[in-house]
Formats: sequence, C-alpha cells, structure tokens
Amino acid sequence: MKRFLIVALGLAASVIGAGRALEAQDGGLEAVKVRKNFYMLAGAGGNIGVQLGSDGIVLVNAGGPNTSDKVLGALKTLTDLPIRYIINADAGTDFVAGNEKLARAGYTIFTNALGGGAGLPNGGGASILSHDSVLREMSKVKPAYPSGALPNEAFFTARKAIRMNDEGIEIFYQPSAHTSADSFVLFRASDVVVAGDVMDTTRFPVIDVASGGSIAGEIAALNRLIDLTIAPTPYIYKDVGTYVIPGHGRVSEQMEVVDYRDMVVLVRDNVADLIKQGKTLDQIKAARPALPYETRYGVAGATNAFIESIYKSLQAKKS
Amino acid sequence: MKKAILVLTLLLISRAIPALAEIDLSGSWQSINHEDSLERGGGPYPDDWTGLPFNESGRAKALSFSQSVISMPERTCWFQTQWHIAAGPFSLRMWAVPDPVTGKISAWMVGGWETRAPMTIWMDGRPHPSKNAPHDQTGFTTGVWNGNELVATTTHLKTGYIRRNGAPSSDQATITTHFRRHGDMMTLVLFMDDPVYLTEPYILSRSYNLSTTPVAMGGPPCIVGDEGVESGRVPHYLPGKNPFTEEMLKYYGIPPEAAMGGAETAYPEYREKIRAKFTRPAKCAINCG
Amino acid sequence: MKKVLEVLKVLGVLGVLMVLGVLVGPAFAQGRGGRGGAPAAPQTPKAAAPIDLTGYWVSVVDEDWRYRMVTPTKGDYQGVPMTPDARKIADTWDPAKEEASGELCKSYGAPAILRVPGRLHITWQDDQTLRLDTDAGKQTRTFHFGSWKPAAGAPHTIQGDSVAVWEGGGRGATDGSMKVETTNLKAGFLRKNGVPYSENATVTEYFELVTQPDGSPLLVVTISTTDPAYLRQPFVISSHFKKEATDAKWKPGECSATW
Repeated sequence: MKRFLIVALGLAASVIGAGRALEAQDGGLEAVKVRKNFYMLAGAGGNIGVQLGSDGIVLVNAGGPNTSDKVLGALKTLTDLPIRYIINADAGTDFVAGNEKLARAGYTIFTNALGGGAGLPNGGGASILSHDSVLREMSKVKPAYPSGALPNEAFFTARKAIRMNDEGIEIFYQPSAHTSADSFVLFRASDVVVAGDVMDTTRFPVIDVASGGSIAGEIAALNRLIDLTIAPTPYIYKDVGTYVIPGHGRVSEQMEVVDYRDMVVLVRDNVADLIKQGKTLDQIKAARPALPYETRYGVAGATNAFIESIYKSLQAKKS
Repeated sequence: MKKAILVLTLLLISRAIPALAEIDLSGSWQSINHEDSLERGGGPYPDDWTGLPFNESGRAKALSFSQSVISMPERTCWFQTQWHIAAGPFSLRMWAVPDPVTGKISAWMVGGWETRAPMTIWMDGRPHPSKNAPHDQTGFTTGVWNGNELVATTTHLKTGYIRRNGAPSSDQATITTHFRRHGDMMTLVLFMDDPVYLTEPYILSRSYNLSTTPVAMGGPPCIVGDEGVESGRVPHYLPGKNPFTEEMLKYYGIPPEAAMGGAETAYPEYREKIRAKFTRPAKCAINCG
Repeated sequence: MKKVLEVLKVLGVLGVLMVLGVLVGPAFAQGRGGRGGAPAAPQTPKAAAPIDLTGYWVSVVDEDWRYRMVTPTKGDYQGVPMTPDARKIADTWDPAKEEASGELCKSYGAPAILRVPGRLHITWQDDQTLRLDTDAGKQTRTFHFGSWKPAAGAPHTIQGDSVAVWEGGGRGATDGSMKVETTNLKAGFLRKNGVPYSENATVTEYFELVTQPDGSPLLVVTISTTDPAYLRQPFVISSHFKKEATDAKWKPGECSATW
C-alpha cells in the first residue's frame, strides 16, 4: 500500500510539473534549434552559429573567455563529430576568445598534408577562417592572443565561399561597420545568416570608431544584411523566412533587421540634425536623440556611447 | 500516517486533472464595432493617443512615425500583431483542435485576417519558448481555463502598433486576452503589457455576436509591390517636426497635450485639467458617422 | 512476473482514484451537504455571489475617449446604429437649451452612466439588493435579485428598474458575472451630444471581474441597449473600472448638460 502511494504521488507530481517552463541547460548556455542541422549557442559571450553534418561541425565564432568547456559540452549533446572549421565573423573578444581551445578540440580537414603530425595546419586542430581584417585586429590586442587562437586561413577578398556538409557557405566582408573586421556568413541551404555584432537585439550597436567602425558602414552593413535575407512572402502568416543570428540576442528574421536598421537610421538622422543646428556633443546628448529607443536598447550606458559614435563618425566624415 | 498519505494523494491527483468547466467558443463571431468605430475601421487620427499610457519613449517613437513607413518595400507585407484583434474591425473565427489520440482539446484557434496571422492558443501546458527563440508573425500563445473563461497569454511578438497611427508596441510586450461568453455574445478583454513603451497595461474590450455567416479563417498571401518608397529609405519625422500634433484640436477642440497620451489622460480627474482648454467645435466636420 | 502484476495493480488502483477525483472533486468544491443530511437553506444573493463587486471603482477611459472625456461635437454619431428618427432628434441638440430646461441628467441614465468618467461605489443595500452609486452626476442604481418586480404603473425613471441574476462562477473560478436587465427608463441620451434613447429602451448588462496582469481585479461591464425607436440594432459597448482601496478620490458632482 505504501509503495503504491509513493508511486501515485510521484505520477501526480510529474503531471503538475509538466507545465513549467524549461530552463536553460548547462549553466546558462542554450542551444536554440534554428533549422534541422543548424543551431545557435547563446550564453557563451557572443552568439555562436553551429552547422552540423557528416563532414563535422562548422562554427561561426567561438564564444568569449572561459566559455569553451561549456561550448564543447553543448556540442557533444548535438553530435559526436569534431569541429572542422571555426569562421570568425567578428574580432571582438566575445567571439574569438574561444578560438584556440575549440580549434584544438577539433580536427583539421587537411589530413593529407605532407608530413602529417606536426605538419598538419593549425597543429591538426580545426581551421580558423576569417577575413584578414579579423587577423589584423586580433594582432593588435595586448596581451597578445596565443598563435593557436589566430585565424590560420585569412582571405583578402570581399567574398569567400566554401562548401561543407553539402551546403554552400559564403562569407561577405562588411567594411567599416561595427568595427573594421565584420563579416556576414550565409549558409545557403539552411537559409541562415550569422551576423556578428553588426546587429545586437539587446542594445544599441557598438560602433568602434577607433577600430575603423562608422555609422555609414553600420547602416550599409544592415542594408546588406536585409538584402541577404528573404521574408516569408507570400505566405506571411504561415512560413518563416531567412533566419539571422545576431551577435547577441535572439534568433531573428528579416523584420528584426529592418527594425534595427530603421532605429540606427532614425537616431543617426536625429544626431545629424542637431549637428546641423550647431549643437555640441553634450548638447546633443541632452537633447536625447535616441529617446524613441532608449527603453528598448539603452542598457548600461549604451545610449550615450551610441550617440557619441554617431557624432564622431559624422564629424570625421565632414573633415 | 497512511491516512495522511492517502488524503495527500487524492488532493494532488484532483489538482492534476484539468478543470471540468470549459465552454465551447467555436464558431463565427461577428465583430460589433460600436465603440472606437472609426479607430478600428478607417483608422485613428494621426497623433490621437488620448487614453494611451505612454512613457516618454513610447511618445517619442509615436511622434517619429510617418505613415509612409508602411510603404517601405520591407514593410509592405508586414503583419499586425495579435493586438489587432482589438485594434482592427474584423470578425473572429474560432475552432478547437483535438489531440488525435486522447480527443482532448490541445489548442484553440483564432483565425487570421488579411493583416493578422492566425493565433494558436496551446492548451496542453507547454511552456513558452526561451528569450533566445525567434518571434514570428503569430507570437506564441498558451491558454488556461478559469471556469468558463479562457485566458490566453501571448509572448514572442514582433514589433507592431497599438494604434494604426504609429503608437508602437515592442517585441517585449505580453498580450493577455480573456474570452468571456454570454450565450450568443462574447466579450474579449485584452491587456497590452509593454514595459518598453507603456507605464501600465493598456486595456481594450470588444464584443462579438455568434453568427451563422462564416468568417474567413486566414488571410490572403502578399507580394511586395512598389509604393513609392525606395529600398533603404526610412520615412520618419525629426523631433519637433511631426505636422499632426494639433489634429485633435482642429477637429474636436481637444488640447494637444491630451492627444499626446499618458496614463493620466485615461482617468476622470484629467477632465478638470483640460476643461479650461477645451472648446467644443460648433459641429462635426469630418467622420461624423 | 510478480513485479509486473504489482505494477498493474498499482496502475489499476491509481486509475480508480483518478476517476474518483473527477467525480468527487466538484462536489467538494461546491460544498454541498453530505449524504443523508438535511438539504441546506438556499443562500441569499449576497451569500451566493460568485464575485465581489463591492468597493470603490474608477473608470479607465481608453476607448471612445472623445465621446466621454470631453463633450462630443454636435452631429458626431460615429459608431451608434441610429435610426433616421434618432438622427433627426440628435440634430436638434442644443446644449444651452438643455441647460436652461433644468434636465441636466439626460446623459447619466442607465444606458450611459457607466460611460461617464467617474467613480462607482458598490455596496449591498440588503441581502437581495446591490446598490451602485456614482460620484459623477450623483446617481444611484439598485440591482434587485430574486423575484422582485417593479410596481405596476411605476413611473419611468432615469435609472429605470433593474433585475439582476448571478451567472456562472463557483468551483474556485472567478468567471462569474452579474446579469442585469433594466426597463422602465425615462428617455435620455446615449451620448452627451444628444444621441437619444426612448422610454422603450431596455438595457442588458454583464458585470464581471477580469484579473489584470498584476493580479488586481478589473470590473468590466458590457452594456447592450436595445431601442426599437432609435436603434437599428442593439448598441453594444463595454466600460472598464479599476478598484480603489479607499474613497479618497470620491468626488460627487452634479450632472452637466454641457460638460
């Protein structure tokens, strides 16, 4: 009788508990399924795009400092295959700090290199692919990144294309946007674009003017991102379109990119108008040109930083 | 001890069983557009935000709005959010979706319109997606029964409008919809809880009559056409440059400060605040009904 | 095998318990008398109330704002399904004449009073009668439960005669409502700008409580006015009221024909 009651209690409790929301797994890291073979890892610093297939794992970005163990743990729940490529779409610490550890945990595709062993590229680990601007920006950082963290496959052209897991992957360099080292990575068959911090659904964009970023480049990049995506027309109410993985924040579609672009343009126009009126930077900040969006994107000092970066960009353009 | 365990078991089991009191909401419900008739139909006046509990960001966003926004190629086929059930004029079609194995109702459907996606109200206790999950046109809605009242909670909305004159709603909003049926009439009470743009929830209630005339279940497809706004342009008004801030004064004698909204504009004491500034026009000049 | 049989026995007993929970639960919730006991005395409407409407309530005007918070413009009848006769009457509205006539409360009658921005105070006058007072216009409505009927030949009044019943609710749910039917109305205005209703108008209302996102109650009243003379179809609107803890903002004021 006692045993039966314990079983009954357990069953009843599990029925009641079923409705509770699932919590993020693995200490705050969440693997969001985007497509059948594509995930976003959120909570490791910057978002990480994860493409899966019989060739192995392709990552876009590698997460922030001290997150690699969690990232590897999350990847293990998705597949036993190794990491083959890490594509860096952004040179920020949030996106490259995990390069070395994740690459070492992976396995290069170039297994037929002459000499084998030590002759394998990147010491045999996964390749780290990026536009040359990422390598240059990472090379400026002090203290220096270890050599194993630096991209070992850098390209200089505006576009690079490879094919992994039976899918075309295009990398588009976006000059002078959030920094000078931004790229978009388009997975053609998955219909997913990984955007890096050109887009951040949690805050105003960080435009690092000192590192080559500019407001004009940020707007051009967002317009490019819109062009790379397809909205779910004509069946707006039943389909989804191209998914965008921003640098931070949730999985998005074209409309979120349009909202974000519109916000950047509106605030830029407001600042430009105040500059035209002869206002100083302090007067411009006091006028609150980003007010329509302050509550949505103005976290932790982001508002004034954004206004300043626009001001500096526009003043630099004038001179 | 054994008795205590038995009583506890019975209590737990009775809680785990869904409430018996559920009613049938299915059918074609014709919208009764007697209140906010103009706002739901032809649309509200530009800059009429009377009664809206805006915060300063909400007001600033609304003032920046240009109607040309909806002619942007990226927005031509943009859909309203589920709030449009209250803000729009259309009727509702509702039907239940049974679980094919158990026969229990796993969801209630509220059919869509030409500008609003169908709403699936999940009744099976599933959780809402995480904050990292995408927001789609339908939002994500779960429902519970409170006796004969269905209470639906919608999150994961895209950005939209509380009113079709630029009063914004954000992607962080939650809409709670209460469905109450009285015979052949149904009243919906909707709360828009938006911490980005509002200081308190905005409340609308709408009534519908059950009808034998079928209401459409979904909207037509949409293809983007050229409406004169070139790709990349973002129509908006600079601060202080919105030309419609005195529209309500012009037609109704309502002072502009009232039209700019804010929670206080919805409460009775506000009447005394504007009494001296209000002059009733001699007669109705436009949209007289 | 023995373990399998044990498990089956447990599941079987569990199934019986679940069925019992389904059958017996509602009876417990409704608090009916036990088997073999004397039938309980019928509850008074006050005791049987599935929801508590008493207290102070403030109107929240987030709909039809320009028809309620200010005097609507003459000739603005948007949304009201008026007959041609009603339009003819409304077109003659003259607020100065209304004021001079002394009949200042025509837009404060039962079909319209809950549209007037102000506060309500709802109390039990006795176990059979719920009373609603308004500070705007100092009006009083009484909702009679049970078998109450107005006296034969009673005069028509601004608030008419209201009969109320409880509907729904119980079983721990808060979905109950008070349905009110009002007749014997004196002719008045649905809107302050002279949109008329006749003495043959009747009003059906549902008073119900809806839980707000913060857990506090919102009083929602759906008002359906039928008038064979002046309305082509029932005029259906709904008003909202938030609860207030005290009478601190209760501010009785006279009717006005112009404001």
